[in-house]
Amino acid sequence: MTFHEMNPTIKFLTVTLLMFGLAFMYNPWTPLAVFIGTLILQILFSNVNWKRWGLFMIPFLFTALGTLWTTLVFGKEAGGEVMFTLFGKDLTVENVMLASTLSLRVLAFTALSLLFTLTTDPKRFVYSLMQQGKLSPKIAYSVFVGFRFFPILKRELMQLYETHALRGVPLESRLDYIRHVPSLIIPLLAGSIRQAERIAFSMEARGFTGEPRATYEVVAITRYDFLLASILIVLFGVSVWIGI
Amino acid sequence: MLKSWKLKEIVLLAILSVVFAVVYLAFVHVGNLWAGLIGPIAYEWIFGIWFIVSIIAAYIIRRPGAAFLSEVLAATIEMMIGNAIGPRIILVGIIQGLGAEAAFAVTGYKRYDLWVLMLAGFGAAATSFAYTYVMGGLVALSPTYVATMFALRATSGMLIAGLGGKILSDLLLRTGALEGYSLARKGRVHG
Amino acid sequence: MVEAEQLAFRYPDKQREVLTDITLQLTAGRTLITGASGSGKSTLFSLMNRLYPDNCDGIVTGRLHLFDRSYDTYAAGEVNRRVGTVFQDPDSQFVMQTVEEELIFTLENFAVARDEMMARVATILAELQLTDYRDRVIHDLSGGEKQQIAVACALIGKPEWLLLDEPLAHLDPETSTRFVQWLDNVAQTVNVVVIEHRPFLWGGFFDREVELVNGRINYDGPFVARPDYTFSPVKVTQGNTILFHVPHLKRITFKLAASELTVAEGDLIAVLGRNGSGKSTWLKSLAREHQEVGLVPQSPAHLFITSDVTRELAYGHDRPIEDIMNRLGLGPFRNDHPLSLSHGQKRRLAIGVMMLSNKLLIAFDEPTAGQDEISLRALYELIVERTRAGQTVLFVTHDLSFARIANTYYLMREGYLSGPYDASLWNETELLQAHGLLLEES
Repeated sequence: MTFHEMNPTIKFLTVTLLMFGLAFMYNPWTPLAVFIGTLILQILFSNVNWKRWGLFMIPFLFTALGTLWTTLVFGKEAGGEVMFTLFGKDLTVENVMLASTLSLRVLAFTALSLLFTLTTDPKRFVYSLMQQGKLSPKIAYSVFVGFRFFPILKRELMQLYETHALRGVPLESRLDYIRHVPSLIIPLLAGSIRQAERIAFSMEARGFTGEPRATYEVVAITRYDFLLASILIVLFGVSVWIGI
Repeated sequence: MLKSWKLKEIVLLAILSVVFAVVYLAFVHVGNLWAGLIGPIAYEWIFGIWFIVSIIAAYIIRRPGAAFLSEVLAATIEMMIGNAIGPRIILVGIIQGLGAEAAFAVTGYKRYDLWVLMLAGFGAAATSFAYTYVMGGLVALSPTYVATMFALRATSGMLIAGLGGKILSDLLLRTGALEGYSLARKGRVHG
Repeated sequence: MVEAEQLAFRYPDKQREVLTDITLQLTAGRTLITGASGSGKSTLFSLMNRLYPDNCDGIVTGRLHLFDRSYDTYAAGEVNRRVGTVFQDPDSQFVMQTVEEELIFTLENFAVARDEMMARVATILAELQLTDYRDRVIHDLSGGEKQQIAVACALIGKPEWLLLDEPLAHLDPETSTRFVQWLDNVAQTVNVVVIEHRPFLWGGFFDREVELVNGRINYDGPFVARPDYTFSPVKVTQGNTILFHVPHLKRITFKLAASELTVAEGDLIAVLGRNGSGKSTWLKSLAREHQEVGLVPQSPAHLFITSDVTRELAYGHDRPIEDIMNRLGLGPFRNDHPLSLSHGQKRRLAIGVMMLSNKLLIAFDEPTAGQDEISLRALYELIVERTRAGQTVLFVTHDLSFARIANTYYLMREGYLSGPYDASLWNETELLQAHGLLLEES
């Protein structure tokens, strides 16, 4: 029983539910408990590359810090005892609690998201959306096409940069590369649109109609899915209780 | 709703989404660094970038659902190619897509001029802001700060997504790549 | 399979008919459909597998039967169970990541029972001698391999007919010949229709030929094998020689040895080698190292940065552009978007760009890929005109017929450049064979 095996649609719904629930909790302890609890569950029920986890987490640490100090500086006036003064603003206990809540919420959201992302094979997720979520095959297979197209697009992008550099477009620094994006986007899109039509034609030529079809890859629902979902919901319940 | 769609139109949405998913991902990384420095408001002025695919898709394909579907496809593909905020991004895509779609629905899917495109940009900004307000707990911030955030996001939605989306699509039309899609046909009827 | 009587076709918002008065009966066997670009052969092809008229809202008049019923009585996807299709572009006919997934995609479309699928995959791969590819990622395969997989994806549905739309356009001659031999072997029980404008690559594969000219049938009869188009060498006057060094280059999968290229001003040089031998990488390296070299990529569209022809020609310098624009026949298109031009016009615009940036050497990467005879003749004329004006021109190619126009040759094999050779190279059978440029039987 691991999160890797869990049915992706159920996992998606559970994780989303928890995040929505968190949005209504205004005390720092609930998001903190969810954050820690998610980590523990991830250790127990998954096999995650923690280095990757850390790398993904870093940018959100920045966001959490940003949230913390903006909420402090731009927070609503709140009554109560003044704890300290920042940039000429008197901060009350309530201000500080609110700021830490929102900042910890960012971390809890990220932990939950990573629990999903790092244990879910995207292809299996789309299959599951088709099978359990009644997603139209037209959309699902277009997603696959898009996914497959990604490396082709990257190669195309590199070729454009290369030839444009030969034409004397200054492309020395990273900034130059970013600045040149607007002039690349039209040729990139124009080429891609022509390819999209060809791909669609070849799908139809192979008998793809978008109607319900046979499936080789079956993503099942088992009782473990409900068990794992329940564990997550219990975690949330406990965290809410801690907050009270 | 999907019955009347040609497969090539849906695949086009997916491919547009990939192009913009690449752009979006680049902006998320730029955005995160900013966010650390100046807080969540950092994203606001570039937020329109996230809505642009809706506007372009609706403008080119001109079918009910194009704005919504493209945003959701973009989000899903973005998640597949490795966006850490994974499931949340799909939610955001659904919500933004609904906002943009609303503008086209209100005009009965008959008008695709600059004003409607900017309205769609505004619509996406409005629904996505409502989401941020709830999920990000903006209720804790001072009303002036929240209003500034919204004003920035709405402006960005109208200018980057609405106006920018139209400029990009019109340029694309000139390259001849849109032959066989609604935008090219409509253009010929009027011009 | 196809039975057409006075069939005509046009696009919804155009008056001109793409196909006119087509009366045709395709019967069992192997049929070649030839014709220049714009002759309507691709349209006819798309009517056969029912991609048209629905996909372009085109207008069909006359009678068109597919098998025993009128085309418009078929449900979506129905005819595709009996007709398999392989397209020209190896990069835009796949949906999934791996070969196995891609084959299963076809089976799923045809609602094959789940427990039968794996057996069908194994069987078709074995029959086509492709078993080793089962778990390969399609993106990593070469062009020739991708086309073989495309054939497998079409044949796994057990169609009665197999349609191929210029499947060799992106393959080198050696790979092409292998592909045709392989197809000849594996397509024993299926009827084949191929669109091709260079039939010589197919040897004696066909038994019937249909030729289209301007949307009408010009010839319908037995296939007669014929040699490729011939091009005569261009006379050049050689000036001072310049020496270009290309440093060695190491990539993860590929190594390019350091090389030297001696170029006489006004010369016409061809660099030959099979696909994947490193000639394109070498050419890019040459252009990167030497500002005097102007590279025209295989798809000239990659070169364009601005949004109209005038600005494109004027980019990066302040020399007058009018004269060159008119000489290249681009005057009427001055305000058009470069990407909206035809392939030939794009190529001329690319040349204009190179001429205006005072490049000493104009270097084309695979300029003949996927081009029909008219387009090749136009390219020939353009090169003749340029060399007459004293311009030095180099091109990289695997097109042996076109390569004959050159005066000086270099060969590329596994990252090693050798040369220069003169036209006597064509008698060095062993040398050519070693570079994948000559096949044993020719």
